[in-house]
Amino acid sequence: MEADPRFAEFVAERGDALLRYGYMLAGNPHDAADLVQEALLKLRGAWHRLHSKGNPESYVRTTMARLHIATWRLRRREQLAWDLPEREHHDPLPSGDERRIWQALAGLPRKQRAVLVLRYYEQLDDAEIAAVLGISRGTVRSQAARALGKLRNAVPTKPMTRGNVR
Amino acid sequence: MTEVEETLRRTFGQAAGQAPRLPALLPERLERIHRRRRRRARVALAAAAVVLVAGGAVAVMPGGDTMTVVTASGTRSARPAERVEKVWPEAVRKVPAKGPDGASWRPETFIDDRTLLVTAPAGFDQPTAVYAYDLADNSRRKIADLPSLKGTLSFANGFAVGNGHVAWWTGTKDRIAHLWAVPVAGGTAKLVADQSIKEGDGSGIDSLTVANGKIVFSLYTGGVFAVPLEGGTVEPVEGGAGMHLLAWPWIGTPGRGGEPHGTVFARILNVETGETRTVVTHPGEVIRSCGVTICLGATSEFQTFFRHRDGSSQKMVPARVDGSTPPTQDRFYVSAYGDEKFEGVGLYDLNTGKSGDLGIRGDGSSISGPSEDPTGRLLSYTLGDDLYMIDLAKIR
Repeated sequence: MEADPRFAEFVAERGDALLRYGYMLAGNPHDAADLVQEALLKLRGAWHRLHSKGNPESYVRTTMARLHIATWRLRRREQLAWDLPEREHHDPLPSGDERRIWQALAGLPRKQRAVLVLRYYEQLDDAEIAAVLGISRGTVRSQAARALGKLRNAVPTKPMTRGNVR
Repeated sequence: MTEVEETLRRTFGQAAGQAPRLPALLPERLERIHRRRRRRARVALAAAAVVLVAGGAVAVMPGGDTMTVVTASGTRSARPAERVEKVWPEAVRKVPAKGPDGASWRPETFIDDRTLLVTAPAGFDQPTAVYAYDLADNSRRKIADLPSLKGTLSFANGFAVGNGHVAWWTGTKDRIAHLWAVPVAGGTAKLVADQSIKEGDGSGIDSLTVANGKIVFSLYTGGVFAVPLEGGTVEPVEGGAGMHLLAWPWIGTPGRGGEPHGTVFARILNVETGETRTVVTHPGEVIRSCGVTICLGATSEFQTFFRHRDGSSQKMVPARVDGSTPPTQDRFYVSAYGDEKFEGVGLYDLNTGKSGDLGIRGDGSSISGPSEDPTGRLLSYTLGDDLYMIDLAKIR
């Protein structure tokens, strides 16, 4: 089968957005790039079946989310979920709470992180998230609640902003 | 929406600006990989069907460029019968994860057999100093403070020891990598040279070592360079264009960083002797990555194996092994074990067949492995308040 120029167009047009989404899921540029490449290759394999009737972008995004939560990879030095920072990739976010949240996201199990990305970055509702990840709505809710709980612990409670004497 | 949800939404919004950008030639590259995989897939198809029918065992995508291990079921490594400290007491050290001052610290690499190079604090904070940690009496001697330039994004990392010096690099917002050195005996860190890392995703330097009185390093985007420890001009290493430092004097291509593009270190060059070595691959199989001698791959039946680069001495292993690293010391590998989910992580010795449990527990869907120093000699990980260090060179 010949290369389809529409596939190349799709990649050129949507690639950056997919990389951003991959970066939200994976938390680092290398895994984000891996994820996008793998998902686009799956799309390439299914292109002739998909592009006429489907929404290739939603196919790729679903593939990325599922690949990510199903994959176990262990990378030298860089991918230690519990305590070692990815120093090579510095601090993506400059300021306090956002930086803490970004770091806390790295400590979440992949499924929990994926649920948060789909809900708060992709703005999907719970039913849509359930469909993307192939899990029940109840699981989406419990995973989200658990993940938000962990993030809440990562951000110090602010003192009252008004009438608070130091 | 609660406060944490608001912050989360803002966090994603800000982080989006940091995402990697689309490589210009990605569509063409995908097309190439797609064709290559389709050829391989034909070879693997029959075997794949058998594996899946047999109970959703290991689903491995055979691809020339990367191999992603999917699904949580299937053959795993055997669970080691005993903990690493029982199996190899001579090699395992357990020390407090925090120093006497309450700050956590992080082992970087060996200075010599009884001394570790460590930085503190560990964690998300910027390390402020580098120390020599005496394994014989657990004492710590400060070697130097780690200077921080204005606009530092990439904290001190890539530590290497050689020629009586410690070398490392930092990165700043203007996409400059700064190379530093200080005598192991102690002193003030000196800025040796600057290197632009404007190309690529800003990851900078992927490997760094000290050899022949020089800091030798390679970039994520490729290219091996050297600069004298006392300072001077950064010069390209002959034969090092597009290459990556593997283990001096060996350099090779493709490197580990960036997007997957074939067997990691498929082709290597000894820059001192001019010797080159290329991995031997048989039809249908996938070699993921190679060290100087040994490679990690999988057959068309998705069986993982280790094998010499020249194609000899193949050893099959019932394991799902770290995707990017050949066995360290040409002998050891780390793998998760567990039937339904990731239960733990083991260290396995290819030479003797022995294995030890690291004691790490997964959360069901994922598990983290130990950290490996750039020379591949030291594995380290934290369990509770303890920092475990395994000196693989001590295992006979």
